[in-house]
Order: sequence, then C-alpha cells, then structure tokens
Amino acid sequence: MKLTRPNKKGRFKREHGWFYIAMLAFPTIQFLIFYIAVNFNSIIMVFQKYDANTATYVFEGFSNFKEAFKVLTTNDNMIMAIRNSFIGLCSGIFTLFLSALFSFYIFKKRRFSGLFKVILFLPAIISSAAMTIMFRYYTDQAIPAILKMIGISSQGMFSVPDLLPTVVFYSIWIGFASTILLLLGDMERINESVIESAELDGASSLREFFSIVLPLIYPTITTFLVVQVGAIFTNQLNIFTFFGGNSDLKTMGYYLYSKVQSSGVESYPQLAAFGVMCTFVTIPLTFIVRWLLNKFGPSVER
Amino acid sequence: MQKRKGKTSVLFVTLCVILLLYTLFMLSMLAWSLTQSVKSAHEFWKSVISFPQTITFEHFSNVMKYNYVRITASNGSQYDIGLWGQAINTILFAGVGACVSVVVPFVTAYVCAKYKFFYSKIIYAIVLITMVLPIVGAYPSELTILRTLGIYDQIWGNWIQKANPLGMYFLVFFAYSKGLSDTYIEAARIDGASELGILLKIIFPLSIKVLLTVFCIIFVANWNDYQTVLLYLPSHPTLAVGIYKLSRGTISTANLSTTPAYLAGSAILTVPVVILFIIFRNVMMGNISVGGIKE
Repeated sequence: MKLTRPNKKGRFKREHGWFYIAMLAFPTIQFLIFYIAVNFNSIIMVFQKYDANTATYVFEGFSNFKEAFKVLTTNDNMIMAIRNSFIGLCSGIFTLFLSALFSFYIFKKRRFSGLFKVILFLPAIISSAAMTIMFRYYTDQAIPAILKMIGISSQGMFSVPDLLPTVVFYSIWIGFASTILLLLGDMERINESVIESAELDGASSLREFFSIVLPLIYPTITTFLVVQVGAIFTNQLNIFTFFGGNSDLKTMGYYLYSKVQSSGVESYPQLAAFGVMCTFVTIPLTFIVRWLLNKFGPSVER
Repeated sequence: MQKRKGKTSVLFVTLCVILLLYTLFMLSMLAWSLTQSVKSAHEFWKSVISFPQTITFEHFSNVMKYNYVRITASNGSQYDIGLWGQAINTILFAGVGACVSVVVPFVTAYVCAKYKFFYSKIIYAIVLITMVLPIVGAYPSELTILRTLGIYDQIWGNWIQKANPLGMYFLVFFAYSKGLSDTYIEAARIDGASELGILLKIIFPLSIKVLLTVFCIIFVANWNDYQTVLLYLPSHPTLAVGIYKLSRGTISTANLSTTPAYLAGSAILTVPVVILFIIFRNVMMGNISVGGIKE
C-alpha cells in the first residue's frame, strides 16, 4: 500500500509537507555546504592566490594551473607519485581478483572457511596506526630473527633501499576485508541450483569460478573496479601512516594529504589546482573504464 | 545452514595453502606483538623473538602516563593532552560522530522512501551522481570553508561535517525503508500519532538492527581514523592520533622510544575495538548489503 493515494494526494501533501521539509532541511543545507560549496570553492581557489597583507584570497588567473602542470610534468618526485598511484591501482585490481578467489573458497564452505573469513576481516577492525606498527616491527625485527635461527640471513622489509614493494605488499595484505564481505554476500545470492547443476555436469572448481560465479558477480566486480579507478589519486598506499609527512616515497594521494596537513593557507590555491587537475583526469578515466567494463564484460541474468 | 559439497581440487588446495599462510602470518604477528609488549626493553633487545621471562606491564603504564600530544594554541601557548583526554576525544569523535553519521542518512532515506514528493527523486539522483563522481583533493577548499564558518578544529563542527546525508549508507537505508511495511505507520496515523512520533516511536525501534550494524561499522572506522583528526581537529587528538604520534617518535620521552612501548600502544588502541568486534561480530560481518540487511 502506498502512502500517497491519488485521491488523497493534496491532503497528504498538506498534512505531511512541513514534516518533510523539516526533516530534509538540515541534510539539504549540509549537502549544499559540504559538497556543492566545497567543490565550487575548489575551482574558484585554483584561480586565486593568498594575499598575506589582507589575509584573503585574491584572483590571480591561470598561474596556479600553469605551475601545477609544470610541476606534474617535470618534477621527478611528482612523476614518481603519478607512477606509484598507477602501481597502487594495479595492486588494488590484483587484491580484488584475490578477494574474489578467497570469497569463492569461503562461499564453497571449504576447510577453515569460517576462521579465514574472520582473519581476513581483522585489518578492517584494527587501526592502521596500530597495524602498521605491528607489521613494521614484525617484518623488520622478528622475521629476520626467526629466519636467522634456521640459517637464512635476510634483511627486514623496511631495511631495503626501495620501500615501494613493501608498501604495495602491505596494501594487498590488508586489502581483503570489506571486499570479501560484499563479494561473499553477492555470491550467497546466486541461485543454488545453478551451482548444483554445474557440479552435476562435472565442472571443475576453476571452471565453476570463471564461468559461473565470476560472471554472476560481475556487476559488483565492476563497481569495485570503478571505485578503484576513481580512487587512483587518493590512494596513499599507507605511506603517511608508515613514514609520516616527509617520505621520499610518494603517491598523489599521499602528496596531496601530507602537503595540506603540513602547509599553511598560502599553499592552498596551488594544492587546489593539483586536486582539480587530478579530478579532470579521474572523471573521464572512470567513465571510460565503466563503459569498457559494461561493453565487454559478460552479460548474465540470475 | 546448508553445507555445500565439492571435490578437492588444485584450486582449493592452493587457496587453502595461501589462506593458511595468511592466517599464520596474521596470528603470529598479533601473538608476537602482544608477547613482546610485556617484555622489558632490555630483555627485548637480548632476543626479539623469545617469550618473556618476566612479564611486565611497564610499557602499558608508560604509554598511559607519558603518551601525550602537545598542542600549540592560537596564542602560541602549549599544553599537553594525555591518554585520558585522548580517550574522551575518541568517544566524542568516534561515538557521537558515528551516531550523527547514522541518524542523518537514515532519516533522509526514510523520508525519501516513504514520502512521495518529487524532491525525494532529486535526492536519490544526487546520491547516485555524487557516488560516481570522483572528486580529488578538496581538502584545501574544505578547510577554508570550515574556517570561514568558524567550525574548524571544533568537535561539534566535525559532527556537522560528518552528518553527510548521502553516500552508500543512504542506499542501504533507502532500500531498508522501502521494505518497511506501511501497516504500522497507517495504524499509528489513525491513532492520531504525529509524523515525528511515528519516526521516533515506531520506525527507530523497528530499525534498530540495521542502525546498530551501520553504527558499529562507522564507529570502528572513526575509532581507527587519525588522518581526519590531524587535518580537521588538530587540538582534539584521539587515541589513534596519540599512537600514530608515538610511532613517529614525536614523543621525546626515552622510555617510550622502544619497540615494546610502540607495541603496547598498539595493543591499547586495538583491544577495545577487538572486544566490540567479538560482541558484535555477527552484526558487523553478516548483515550489511546495499539492498538493506540480510535477515
């Protein structure tokens, strides 16, 4: 039964209109300030500079854009940050693929699947500040000591010159938690008879995964992939948590956050220019990836 | 629960081995961290992997006593916020913040789902659009606006910031509200209940399960979040900020600059949420989906 019946529409609106307006007034204002105004102001700030004499932002033209473009294309650190952001995206895609496999294992209720589900979820519970401490000292001090006991000499994961593989490994290692829950929830909605008939036909588990389960959860996989692409320039790969604000290792997400965190208001216009430029790249990229995934992905009805 | 059967295959054996290694790594890391945090620094440096010969809680007490965060006020004066101050900030930031983050999208979604006004459709469309539009680096603009409004570095200001009506949880609550039977609402109306009364006395108690699920998820995320606090609430450090600062070595007290002290700090931060997780494990791991909650 609908609350609005055609013959009572006018009365319904009269009686409930004020309640409706009262309930949605705050959410609307919140959205207008923290989404519309924030993003509009971001664009405005790109064309401004900070005037220390008046302590206000004044219009400057395109100089922030020019400077940001120059830095992004010529500064080695920024080129490295962009490269690492793409590496972060690749690691995210790899994590998603592994998550799908792990979810399939748990979905099929194989040995220890209940335990694995809890263990894989733990990184979502434990703070990254605490997890990075434990991970860092365990891999840097305990594991080399254990390996030394069995005659293997090794460096700690944080004692190597190039720390990128370490942070990528860590981001994969903690990246399964919520993805697995949502994929598992999706798998559990697959019609049982589809799985049973595949098993009766003698399909191998690999075939079952790639030909039945993966196509059926494809919309969720697509959503995750699109979200990953959308987050390409916000992913910090936990660099800030591991190394603070002065790390030589960078991603764009790390650069933007650490700069804003440590800079004064005078740097905001240029940082806004970086943000807007990244958004200009991310929006079309996200829509292209979404389009490609929808066009070339499997189309299966449940 | 129905048990799925299947043959043992190379895929499952391989996955089982990988997951066993993962589990071994995770559990051994947690066990190592806990055992080393109750060793004296001297004993730790003698062997970083041995079990403690004498158990000491000195690192825990040192972290509780000395792990303060130094705040510089706008007039240049400095003051310290210790562990208990950080704990209060955590409750205000994580607890109240989670309440706000649950109630606002819930009320918005409920009203949009149950009151057929055209504006409800606009809100739904806005939610979908904002979810697919990836905005990068709006921090400077957000900070500027917070300062302009006078709510920068204010806990209550952060609650307003957190009262975001949109996002994934709007969709969860919208699907849930759509599924709510109108019978109770109509009956309450016939009995003369106001719309606000229906929301507070009928809808909220009916929806306690989905509200609790989302609350737990957001509470844990807020509890663990130190970056938002560093950026928007620099004068209100939470426990997560305290432990982050401890790990960065910004606290100069010598007896806190040891691995066992860092591990003790991690345990202090972790234990409360692990207890919460143990109590609400099924709620947090089983119920949520974008289609509402699974019964």
